[in-house]
Amino acid sequence: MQMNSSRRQSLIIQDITVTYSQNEHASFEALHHIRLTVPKGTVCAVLGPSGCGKSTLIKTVAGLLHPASGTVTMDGAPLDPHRVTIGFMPQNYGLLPWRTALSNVLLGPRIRKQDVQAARARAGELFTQLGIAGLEGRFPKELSGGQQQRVALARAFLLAPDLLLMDEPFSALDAITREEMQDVFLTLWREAQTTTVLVTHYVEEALYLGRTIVLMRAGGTIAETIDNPLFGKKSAR
Amino acid sequence: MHWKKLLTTYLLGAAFLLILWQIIAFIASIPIIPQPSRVFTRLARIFTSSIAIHAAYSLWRIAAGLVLAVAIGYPLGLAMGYSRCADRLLSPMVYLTYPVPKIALLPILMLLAGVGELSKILMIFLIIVFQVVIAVRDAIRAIPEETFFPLRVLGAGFPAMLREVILPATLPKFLTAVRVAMATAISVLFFTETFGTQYGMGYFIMDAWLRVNYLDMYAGILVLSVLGLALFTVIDTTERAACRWQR
Repeated sequence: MQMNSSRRQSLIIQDITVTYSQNEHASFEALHHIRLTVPKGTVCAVLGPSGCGKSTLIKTVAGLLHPASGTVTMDGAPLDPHRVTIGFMPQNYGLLPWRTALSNVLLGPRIRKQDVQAARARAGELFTQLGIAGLEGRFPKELSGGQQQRVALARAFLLAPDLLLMDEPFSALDAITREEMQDVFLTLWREAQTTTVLVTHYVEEALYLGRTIVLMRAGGTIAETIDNPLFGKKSAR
Repeated sequence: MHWKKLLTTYLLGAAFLLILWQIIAFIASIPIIPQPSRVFTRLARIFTSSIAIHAAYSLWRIAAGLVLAVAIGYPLGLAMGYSRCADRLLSPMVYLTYPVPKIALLPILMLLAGVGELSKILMIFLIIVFQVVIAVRDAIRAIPEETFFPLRVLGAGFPAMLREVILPATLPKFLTAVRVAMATAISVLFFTETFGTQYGMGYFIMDAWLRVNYLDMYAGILVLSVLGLALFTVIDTTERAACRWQR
Protein backbone atom coordinates (compact mmCIF):
# COMPACT_ATOMS: atom_id res chain seq x y z
CA MET A 1 0.00 0.00 0.00
CA GLN A 2 1.39 3.40 -0.87
CA MET A 3 2.38 5.04 2.39
CA ASN A 4 2.44 8.75 2.27
CA SER A 5 2.69 10.00 5.81
CA SER A 6 1.78 13.57 4.89
CA ARG A 7 -1.59 12.24 3.76
CA ARG A 8 -2.32 10.82 7.18
CA GLN A 9 -4.10 13.39 9.22
CA SER A 10 -5.74 13.57 12.58
CA LEU A 11 -9.49 13.71 12.83
CA ILE A 12 -11.12 16.24 15.12
CA ILE A 13 -14.79 16.02 16.01
CA GLN A 14 -15.85 19.25 17.61
CA ASP A 15 -19.03 19.71 19.57
CA ILE A 16 -21.22 17.62 17.31
CA THR A 17 -24.96 17.61 18.00
CA VAL A 18 -27.27 15.60 15.76
CA THR A 19 -31.05 15.73 15.96
CA TYR A 20 -33.62 13.63 14.14
CA SER A 21 -37.01 15.20 13.62
CA GLN A 22 -39.72 12.74 14.53
CA ASN A 23 -42.54 14.90 13.21
CA GLU A 24 -43.14 18.58 12.65
CA HIS A 25 -43.20 19.36 16.34
CA ALA A 26 -40.92 16.89 18.09
CA SER A 27 -37.28 16.11 17.49
CA PHE A 28 -34.92 13.75 19.16
CA GLU A 29 -31.27 14.35 19.97
CA ALA A 30 -29.13 11.42 18.91
CA LEU A 31 -25.76 13.00 19.69
CA HIS A 32 -25.14 15.63 22.31
CA HIS A 33 -22.04 17.86 22.05
CA ILE A 34 -19.58 15.13 21.11
CA ARG A 35 -15.91 16.07 21.20
CA LEU A 36 -13.32 13.61 20.06
CA THR A 37 -9.84 13.62 18.58
CA VAL A 38 -8.50 10.64 16.69
CA PRO A 39 -4.72 10.97 16.22
CA LYS A 40 -3.39 10.14 12.76
CA GLY A 41 -2.55 6.52 12.16
CA THR A 42 -4.54 5.06 15.02
CA VAL A 43 -7.68 3.02 15.44
CA CYS A 44 -10.37 4.52 17.62
CA ALA A 45 -12.98 2.02 18.77
CA VAL A 46 -16.34 3.50 19.72
CA LEU A 47 -18.07 1.21 22.19
CA GLY A 48 -21.57 1.47 23.56
CA PRO A 49 -24.98 -0.13 23.91
CA SER A 50 -27.38 -0.16 20.97
CA GLY A 51 -29.23 3.08 20.50
CA CYS A 52 -26.50 5.20 22.11
CA GLY A 53 -25.78 7.00 18.84
CA LYS A 54 -22.56 5.32 17.74
CA SER A 55 -23.88 4.63 14.25
CA THR A 56 -25.10 8.21 14.06
CA LEU A 57 -21.63 9.40 15.04
CA ILE A 58 -19.88 7.44 12.30
CA LYS A 59 -22.44 8.49 9.69
CA THR A 60 -21.96 12.11 10.67
CA VAL A 61 -18.20 11.79 10.33
CA ALA A 62 -18.75 10.16 6.94
CA GLY A 63 -20.81 13.15 5.88
CA LEU A 64 -23.94 11.05 5.42
CA LEU A 65 -25.76 12.97 8.14
CA HIS A 66 -25.58 16.67 8.73
CA PRO A 67 -25.08 17.78 12.32
CA ALA A 68 -27.30 20.45 13.82
CA SER A 69 -24.15 22.04 15.19
CA GLY A 70 -20.45 21.32 15.41
CA THR A 71 -17.80 20.43 12.85
CA VAL A 72 -15.72 17.50 11.71
CA THR A 73 -12.27 18.45 10.49
CA MET A 74 -9.19 16.68 9.31
CA ASP A 75 -5.95 18.56 9.68
CA GLY A 76 -7.77 21.83 10.19
CA ALA A 77 -10.03 21.68 7.14
CA PRO A 78 -13.62 20.45 7.03
CA LEU A 79 -13.92 16.85 5.93
CA ASP A 80 -14.67 16.95 2.22
CA PRO A 81 -14.99 13.70 0.26
CA HIS A 82 -13.37 15.36 -2.76
CA ARG A 83 -10.25 16.32 -0.80
CA VAL A 84 -9.97 13.43 1.63
CA THR A 85 -10.43 9.79 0.63
CA ILE A 86 -12.90 8.22 3.03
CA GLY A 87 -13.47 4.49 3.19
CA PHE A 88 -16.81 3.50 4.67
CA MET A 89 -17.77 -0.02 5.65
CA PRO A 90 -21.40 -0.31 6.71
CA GLN A 91 -22.85 -3.06 8.85
CA ASN A 92 -24.10 -5.11 5.91
CA TYR A 93 -20.72 -4.75 4.09
CA GLY A 94 -22.22 -2.34 1.55
CA LEU A 95 -21.45 -4.46 -1.50
CA LEU A 96 -23.46 -3.72 -4.63
CA PRO A 97 -25.49 -6.90 -5.33
CA TRP A 98 -25.32 -6.43 -9.11
CA ARG A 99 -21.54 -6.21 -9.22
CA THR A 100 -19.11 -9.09 -9.02
CA ALA A 101 -16.63 -9.26 -6.14
CA LEU A 102 -13.85 -7.78 -8.27
CA SER A 103 -16.07 -5.08 -9.68
CA ASN A 104 -17.17 -4.16 -6.14
CA VAL A 105 -13.56 -3.87 -5.04
CA LEU A 106 -12.84 -1.60 -8.01
CA LEU A 107 -15.72 0.73 -7.14
CA GLY A 108 -13.42 3.32 -5.56
CA PRO A 109 -11.11 3.74 -8.56
CA ARG A 110 -14.14 3.89 -10.87
CA ILE A 111 -15.82 6.63 -8.87
CA ARG A 112 -12.59 8.54 -8.40
CA LYS A 113 -11.70 8.10 -12.07
CA GLN A 114 -8.35 6.56 -11.20
CA ASP A 115 -6.35 4.09 -13.25
CA VAL A 116 -8.56 1.01 -13.05
CA GLN A 117 -5.94 -1.23 -14.72
CA ALA A 118 -3.36 -0.48 -12.03
CA ALA A 119 -6.00 -0.92 -9.33
CA ARG A 120 -6.89 -4.30 -10.83
CA ALA A 121 -3.36 -5.59 -10.22
CA ARG A 122 -3.44 -4.37 -6.64
CA ALA A 123 -6.93 -5.89 -6.21
CA GLY A 124 -5.53 -9.23 -7.33
CA GLU A 125 -2.88 -9.03 -4.59
CA LEU A 126 -5.53 -8.19 -2.00
CA PHE A 127 -7.73 -11.09 -3.10
CA THR A 128 -4.81 -13.45 -2.61
CA GLN A 129 -3.80 -11.89 0.71
CA LEU A 130 -7.37 -12.14 1.99
CA GLY A 131 -7.75 -15.74 0.85
CA ILE A 132 -10.53 -15.03 -1.64
CA ALA A 133 -8.56 -15.51 -4.86
CA GLY A 134 -10.73 -17.27 -7.41
CA LEU A 135 -13.95 -15.65 -6.19
CA GLU A 136 -13.47 -12.47 -8.27
CA GLY A 137 -16.33 -13.30 -10.64
CA ARG A 138 -18.88 -14.19 -7.98
CA PHE A 139 -21.80 -11.98 -7.05
CA PRO A 140 -22.23 -11.04 -3.36
CA LYS A 141 -25.23 -13.37 -3.14
CA GLU A 142 -22.96 -16.27 -4.04
CA LEU A 143 -20.52 -15.52 -1.21
CA SER A 144 -20.67 -16.42 2.48
CA GLY A 145 -20.81 -13.69 5.12
CA GLY A 146 -17.10 -14.03 5.84
CA GLN A 147 -16.24 -13.87 2.14
CA GLN A 148 -18.39 -10.77 1.64
CA GLN A 149 -16.61 -9.22 4.60
CA ARG A 150 -13.24 -9.95 2.99
CA VAL A 151 -14.39 -8.39 -0.28
CA ALA A 152 -15.52 -5.31 1.67
CA LEU A 153 -12.12 -5.14 3.41
CA ALA A 154 -10.34 -5.47 0.07
CA ARG A 155 -12.46 -2.61 -1.27
CA ALA A 156 -11.73 -0.43 1.76
CA PHE A 157 -7.97 -1.01 1.68
CA LEU A 158 -7.63 -0.79 -2.10
CA LEU A 159 -8.74 2.81 -1.78
CA ALA A 160 -5.80 3.52 0.55
CA PRO A 161 -8.12 5.93 2.35
CA ASP A 162 -7.02 8.80 4.55
CA LEU A 163 -9.81 7.86 6.90
CA LEU A 164 -11.50 4.51 7.36
CA LEU A 165 -14.91 4.33 9.01
CA MET A 166 -16.35 0.98 10.03
CA ASP A 167 -19.86 0.57 11.40
CA GLU A 168 -20.12 -2.72 13.33
CA PRO A 169 -18.15 -4.37 10.55
CA PHE A 170 -17.88 -7.84 12.06
CA SER A 171 -21.10 -8.10 14.06
CA ALA A 172 -23.05 -10.12 11.51
CA LEU A 173 -20.46 -12.92 11.56
CA ASP A 174 -20.30 -15.96 13.80
CA ALA A 175 -17.78 -15.84 16.66
CA ILE A 176 -15.01 -17.83 14.96
CA THR A 177 -15.24 -15.98 11.65
CA ARG A 178 -15.38 -12.70 13.55
CA GLU A 179 -12.08 -13.35 15.35
CA GLU A 180 -10.55 -14.43 12.06
CA MET A 181 -11.70 -11.22 10.39
CA GLN A 182 -10.38 -9.10 13.23
CA ASP A 183 -6.94 -10.63 12.60
CA VAL A 184 -7.27 -10.07 8.87
CA PHE A 185 -8.20 -6.47 9.52
CA LEU A 186 -5.26 -5.90 11.88
CA THR A 187 -2.80 -7.38 9.38
CA LEU A 188 -4.03 -5.06 6.65
CA TRP A 189 -4.20 -2.14 9.01
CA ARG A 190 -0.60 -2.60 10.22
CA GLU A 191 0.59 -2.28 6.62
CA ALA A 192 -1.44 0.82 5.88
CA GLN A 193 -1.76 2.45 9.34
CA THR A 194 -4.94 4.18 8.24
CA THR A 195 -6.66 6.52 10.67
CA THR A 196 -9.71 4.45 11.57
CA VAL A 197 -12.91 4.88 13.53
CA LEU A 198 -14.58 1.58 14.31
CA VAL A 199 -17.97 1.25 15.96
CA THR A 200 -18.73 -1.90 17.90
CA HIS A 201 -20.83 -3.27 20.71
CA TYR A 202 -18.37 -6.06 21.53
CA VAL A 203 -16.07 -5.18 24.41
CA GLU A 204 -13.45 -7.73 23.28
CA GLU A 205 -13.45 -6.28 19.79
CA ALA A 206 -12.90 -2.78 21.13
CA LEU A 207 -10.07 -4.01 23.37
CA TYR A 208 -8.38 -5.92 20.57
CA LEU A 209 -8.75 -3.40 17.75
CA GLY A 210 -8.91 0.01 19.44
CA ARG A 211 -5.77 2.03 20.16
CA THR A 212 -8.14 4.33 21.98
CA ILE A 213 -11.57 3.29 23.16
CA VAL A 214 -14.41 5.75 23.36
CA LEU A 215 -17.18 4.66 25.67
CA MET A 216 -20.56 6.08 24.77
CA ARG A 217 -23.67 6.00 26.86
CA ALA A 218 -27.35 6.31 26.11
CA GLY A 219 -28.32 9.87 25.23
CA GLY A 220 -25.50 10.34 22.75
CA THR A 221 -22.69 11.47 25.03
CA ILE A 222 -19.18 10.21 25.63
CA ALA A 223 -18.70 8.62 29.05
CA GLU A 224 -14.99 8.05 28.85
CA THR A 225 -12.04 7.93 26.47
CA ILE A 226 -9.51 5.24 27.31
CA ASP A 227 -5.97 4.78 26.06
CA ASN A 228 -5.96 1.04 25.48
CA PRO A 229 -2.76 -0.82 26.43
CA LEU A 230 -4.21 -4.12 25.16
CA PHE A 231 -4.42 -2.93 21.53
CA GLY A 232 -3.51 -5.74 19.13
CA LYS A 233 -2.87 -8.23 21.91
CA LYS A 234 -4.62 -11.52 21.40
CA SER A 235 -4.89 -12.03 25.14
CA ALA A 236 -7.42 -9.21 25.10
CA ARG A 237 -10.11 -11.45 23.68
CA MET B 1 -27.07 -26.80 -21.87
CA HIS B 2 -29.60 -24.24 -20.67
CA TRP B 3 -30.39 -23.14 -24.20
CA LYS B 4 -30.82 -26.66 -25.47
CA LYS B 5 -33.26 -27.41 -22.67
CA LEU B 6 -35.24 -24.25 -23.35
CA LEU B 7 -35.38 -24.92 -27.08
CA THR B 8 -36.55 -28.50 -26.46
CA THR B 9 -39.44 -27.36 -24.26
CA TYR B 10 -40.44 -24.70 -26.79
CA LEU B 11 -40.36 -27.22 -29.63
CA LEU B 12 -42.39 -29.72 -27.62
CA GLY B 13 -44.97 -27.03 -26.86
CA ALA B 14 -45.17 -26.05 -30.51
CA ALA B 15 -45.52 -29.68 -31.55
CA PHE B 16 -48.34 -30.18 -29.08
CA LEU B 17 -50.23 -27.14 -30.39
CA LEU B 18 -49.76 -28.28 -33.98
CA ILE B 19 -51.12 -31.73 -33.19
CA LEU B 20 -54.10 -30.15 -31.46
CA TRP B 21 -54.71 -27.91 -34.46
CA GLN B 22 -54.41 -30.86 -36.83
CA ILE B 23 -56.96 -32.87 -34.83
CA ILE B 24 -59.45 -29.99 -34.69
CA ALA B 25 -59.03 -29.33 -38.42
CA PHE B 26 -59.54 -33.01 -39.14
CA ILE B 27 -62.68 -33.35 -37.01
CA ALA B 28 -64.27 -30.01 -38.00
CA SER B 29 -63.22 -30.27 -41.64
CA ILE B 30 -64.51 -26.79 -42.58
CA PRO B 31 -62.68 -24.16 -44.70
CA ILE B 32 -62.31 -21.76 -41.75
CA ILE B 33 -60.05 -24.25 -39.95
CA PRO B 34 -57.52 -25.34 -42.58
CA GLN B 35 -54.90 -28.02 -41.95
CA PRO B 36 -51.62 -26.71 -40.54
CA SER B 37 -49.59 -28.22 -43.38
CA ARG B 38 -51.53 -26.16 -45.94
CA VAL B 39 -51.06 -22.97 -43.91
CA PHE B 40 -47.32 -23.56 -43.61
CA THR B 41 -47.02 -24.24 -47.33
CA ARG B 42 -48.84 -20.98 -48.05
CA LEU B 43 -46.73 -19.12 -45.53
CA ALA B 44 -43.52 -20.35 -47.13
CA ARG B 45 -44.79 -19.23 -50.53
CA ILE B 46 -46.02 -15.73 -49.64
CA PHE B 47 -43.75 -14.74 -46.72
CA THR B 48 -41.06 -12.86 -48.62
CA SER B 49 -43.36 -11.65 -51.38
CA SER B 50 -46.13 -10.18 -49.23
CA ILE B 51 -46.09 -10.85 -45.45
CA ALA B 52 -42.53 -9.69 -44.68
CA ILE B 53 -43.26 -6.03 -45.41
CA HIS B 54 -46.33 -6.09 -43.12
CA ALA B 55 -44.34 -7.73 -40.33
CA ALA B 56 -41.61 -5.11 -40.75
CA TYR B 57 -44.18 -2.30 -40.44
CA SER B 58 -45.66 -3.81 -37.25
CA LEU B 59 -42.22 -4.34 -35.78
CA TRP B 60 -41.20 -0.78 -36.56
CA ARG B 61 -44.33 0.63 -34.87
CA ILE B 62 -43.71 -1.44 -31.75
CA ALA B 63 -40.03 -0.49 -31.66
CA ALA B 64 -40.76 3.21 -32.13
CA GLY B 65 -43.49 3.17 -29.47
CA LEU B 66 -41.24 1.30 -27.08
CA VAL B 67 -38.23 3.57 -27.60
CA LEU B 68 -40.43 6.63 -27.13
CA ALA B 69 -42.02 5.16 -23.97
CA VAL B 70 -38.64 4.34 -22.45
CA ALA B 71 -37.12 7.68 -23.43
CA ILE B 72 -39.93 9.55 -21.68
CA GLY B 73 -41.06 7.05 -19.05
CA TYR B 74 -37.68 6.18 -17.58
CA PRO B 75 -36.59 9.75 -16.74
CA LEU B 76 -40.08 10.50 -15.43
CA GLY B 77 -40.05 7.44 -13.15
CA LEU B 78 -36.52 8.34 -12.12
CA ALA B 79 -37.56 11.84 -11.11
CA MET B 80 -40.58 10.55 -9.23
CA GLY B 81 -38.59 7.89 -7.40
CA TYR B 82 -35.67 10.14 -6.60
CA SER B 83 -37.41 13.32 -5.58
CA ARG B 84 -40.40 13.45 -3.24
CA CYS B 85 -41.31 16.81 -4.69
CA ALA B 86 -41.52 15.52 -8.27
CA ASP B 87 -43.54 12.57 -7.02
CA ARG B 88 -46.07 14.80 -5.24
CA LEU B 89 -46.50 16.82 -8.41
CA LEU B 90 -46.70 13.97 -10.91
CA SER B 91 -48.32 11.14 -8.94
CA PRO B 92 -51.91 12.45 -9.15
CA MET B 93 -51.63 12.86 -12.89
CA VAL B 94 -50.18 9.40 -13.38
CA TYR B 95 -52.76 7.77 -11.11
CA LEU B 96 -55.69 9.57 -12.72
CA THR B 97 -54.67 8.67 -16.26
CA TYR B 98 -53.17 5.21 -15.69
CA PRO B 99 -56.48 3.26 -15.35
CA VAL B 100 -58.03 4.85 -18.47
CA PRO B 101 -58.12 2.13 -21.15
CA LYS B 102 -55.76 3.67 -23.68
CA ILE B 103 -57.59 2.10 -26.63
CA ALA B 104 -60.56 4.32 -25.75
CA LEU B 105 -58.40 7.30 -26.60
CA LEU B 106 -57.76 6.04 -30.12
CA PRO B 107 -60.47 8.20 -31.75
CA ILE B 108 -59.03 11.29 -30.10
CA LEU B 109 -55.49 10.30 -31.05
CA MET B 110 -56.56 9.77 -34.64
CA LEU B 111 -58.23 13.17 -34.73
CA LEU B 112 -55.16 14.86 -33.26
CA ALA B 113 -52.33 12.88 -34.85
CA GLY B 114 -54.04 11.67 -38.00
CA VAL B 115 -54.79 8.12 -39.04
CA GLY B 116 -51.21 7.48 -40.16
CA GLU B 117 -48.09 6.21 -38.42
CA LEU B 118 -48.01 8.71 -35.60
CA SER B 119 -51.30 7.77 -33.94
CA LYS B 120 -50.36 4.07 -34.03
CA ILE B 121 -46.97 4.69 -32.47
CA LEU B 122 -48.47 7.03 -29.87
CA MET B 123 -50.99 4.36 -28.91
CA ILE B 124 -48.22 1.85 -28.15
CA PHE B 125 -46.29 4.57 -26.37
CA LEU B 126 -49.29 5.32 -24.13
CA ILE B 127 -49.71 1.69 -23.18
CA ILE B 128 -46.06 1.10 -22.28
CA VAL B 129 -45.14 4.45 -20.75
CA PHE B 130 -47.30 4.22 -17.62
CA GLN B 131 -46.03 0.76 -16.75
CA VAL B 132 -42.46 1.99 -17.14
CA VAL B 133 -43.00 5.11 -15.03
CA ILE B 134 -44.54 3.21 -12.15
CA ALA B 135 -42.08 0.31 -12.25
CA VAL B 136 -39.04 2.60 -12.28
CA ARG B 137 -40.41 4.79 -9.52
CA ASP B 138 -41.18 1.83 -7.27
CA ALA B 139 -37.85 0.18 -8.03
CA ILE B 140 -35.94 3.32 -7.01
CA ARG B 141 -37.96 3.62 -3.81
CA ALA B 142 -37.10 0.00 -2.99
CA ILE B 143 -33.34 0.67 -3.03
CA PRO B 144 -32.15 0.75 0.59
CA GLU B 145 -30.59 4.08 1.46
CA GLU B 146 -27.41 2.33 2.64
CA THR B 147 -26.72 1.17 -0.90
CA PHE B 148 -25.74 4.73 -1.74
CA PHE B 149 -23.51 5.25 1.31
CA PRO B 150 -20.23 3.80 0.03
CA LEU B 151 -20.62 5.96 -3.08
CA ARG B 152 -21.58 9.12 -1.25
CA VAL B 153 -18.56 9.01 1.03
CA LEU B 154 -16.41 8.85 -2.08
CA GLY B 155 -18.01 12.05 -3.30
CA ALA B 156 -19.85 10.36 -6.16
CA GLY B 157 -22.08 12.64 -8.22
CA PHE B 158 -25.42 11.84 -9.79
CA PRO B 159 -24.01 10.27 -12.99
CA ALA B 160 -22.00 7.77 -10.91
CA MET B 161 -25.04 6.99 -8.73
CA LEU B 162 -27.07 6.41 -11.88
CA ARG B 163 -24.46 4.10 -13.40
CA GLU B 164 -23.51 2.18 -10.28
CA VAL B 165 -26.81 1.92 -8.41
CA ILE B 166 -29.97 3.25 -10.03
CA LEU B 167 -29.72 1.67 -13.49
CA PRO B 168 -28.80 -1.85 -12.33
CA ALA B 169 -31.25 -1.73 -9.41
CA THR B 170 -34.20 -0.72 -11.58
CA LEU B 171 -33.44 -2.97 -14.55
CA PRO B 172 -35.32 -6.13 -13.40
CA LYS B 173 -38.58 -4.31 -12.59
CA PHE B 174 -38.23 -2.18 -15.70
CA LEU B 175 -37.87 -5.21 -17.96
CA THR B 176 -40.79 -6.96 -16.27
CA ALA B 177 -42.94 -3.88 -16.88
CA VAL B 178 -41.97 -3.79 -20.55
CA ARG B 179 -42.75 -7.47 -20.90
CA VAL B 180 -46.19 -7.11 -19.34
CA ALA B 181 -47.00 -4.02 -21.40
CA MET B 182 -45.76 -5.68 -24.60
CA ALA B 183 -48.62 -8.19 -24.65
CA THR B 184 -51.20 -5.41 -24.50
CA ALA B 185 -49.23 -3.34 -26.98
CA ILE B 186 -49.32 -6.10 -29.59
CA SER B 187 -53.08 -6.62 -29.27
CA VAL B 188 -53.73 -2.90 -29.50
CA LEU B 189 -51.37 -2.61 -32.45
CA PHE B 190 -53.46 -5.22 -34.26
CA PHE B 191 -56.54 -3.11 -33.66
CA THR B 192 -54.98 0.19 -34.76
CA GLU B 193 -53.61 -1.40 -37.91
CA THR B 194 -57.13 -2.05 -39.13
CA PHE B 195 -57.50 1.70 -39.68
CA GLY B 196 -55.83 4.10 -42.05
CA THR B 197 -53.00 1.92 -43.30
CA GLN B 198 -52.28 -0.69 -45.92
CA TYR B 199 -49.34 -2.12 -44.06
CA GLY B 200 -48.97 -4.07 -40.84
CA MET B 201 -49.98 -7.49 -39.65
CA GLY B 202 -53.35 -6.19 -38.45
CA TYR B 203 -54.14 -4.93 -41.93
CA PHE B 204 -52.89 -8.11 -43.57
CA ILE B 205 -54.98 -10.42 -41.40
CA MET B 206 -58.18 -8.39 -41.67
CA ASP B 207 -57.68 -7.94 -45.41
CA ALA B 208 -57.25 -11.71 -45.87
CA TRP B 209 -60.39 -12.23 -43.83
CA LEU B 210 -62.40 -9.83 -46.00
CA ARG B 211 -61.07 -11.57 -49.11
CA VAL B 212 -62.22 -14.86 -47.54
CA ASN B 213 -58.67 -16.10 -48.02
CA TYR B 214 -58.37 -18.20 -44.89
CA LEU B 215 -54.96 -19.62 -45.72
CA ASP B 216 -53.49 -16.11 -45.97
CA MET B 217 -55.29 -15.14 -42.77
CA TYR B 218 -53.85 -18.07 -40.85
CA ALA B 219 -50.39 -17.41 -42.22
CA GLY B 220 -50.73 -13.84 -40.90
CA ILE B 221 -51.87 -15.00 -37.48
CA LEU B 222 -48.91 -17.35 -37.37
CA VAL B 223 -46.45 -14.56 -38.22
CA LEU B 224 -47.99 -12.22 -35.65
CA SER B 225 -47.68 -14.94 -32.98
CA VAL B 226 -44.06 -15.58 -33.86
CA LEU B 227 -43.44 -11.82 -33.75
CA GLY B 228 -44.83 -11.67 -30.21
CA LEU B 229 -42.82 -14.72 -29.18
CA ALA B 230 -39.65 -13.19 -30.63
CA LEU B 231 -40.17 -9.94 -28.70
CA PHE B 232 -40.73 -11.88 -25.48
CA THR B 233 -37.61 -13.92 -26.08
CA VAL B 234 -35.55 -10.77 -26.65
CA ILE B 235 -36.75 -9.24 -23.36
CA ASP B 236 -36.25 -12.53 -21.51
CA THR B 237 -32.74 -12.95 -22.84
CA THR B 238 -31.84 -9.38 -21.94
CA GLU B 239 -33.15 -9.92 -18.43
CA ARG B 240 -31.27 -13.18 -18.05
CA ALA B 241 -28.02 -11.59 -19.13
CA ALA B 242 -28.37 -8.32 -17.24
CA CYS B 243 -29.87 -9.62 -14.00
CA ARG B 244 -27.60 -12.59 -13.43
CA TRP B 245 -26.86 -11.22 -9.94
CA GLN B 246 -30.42 -11.84 -8.81
CA ARG B 247 -30.44 -15.60 -9.23
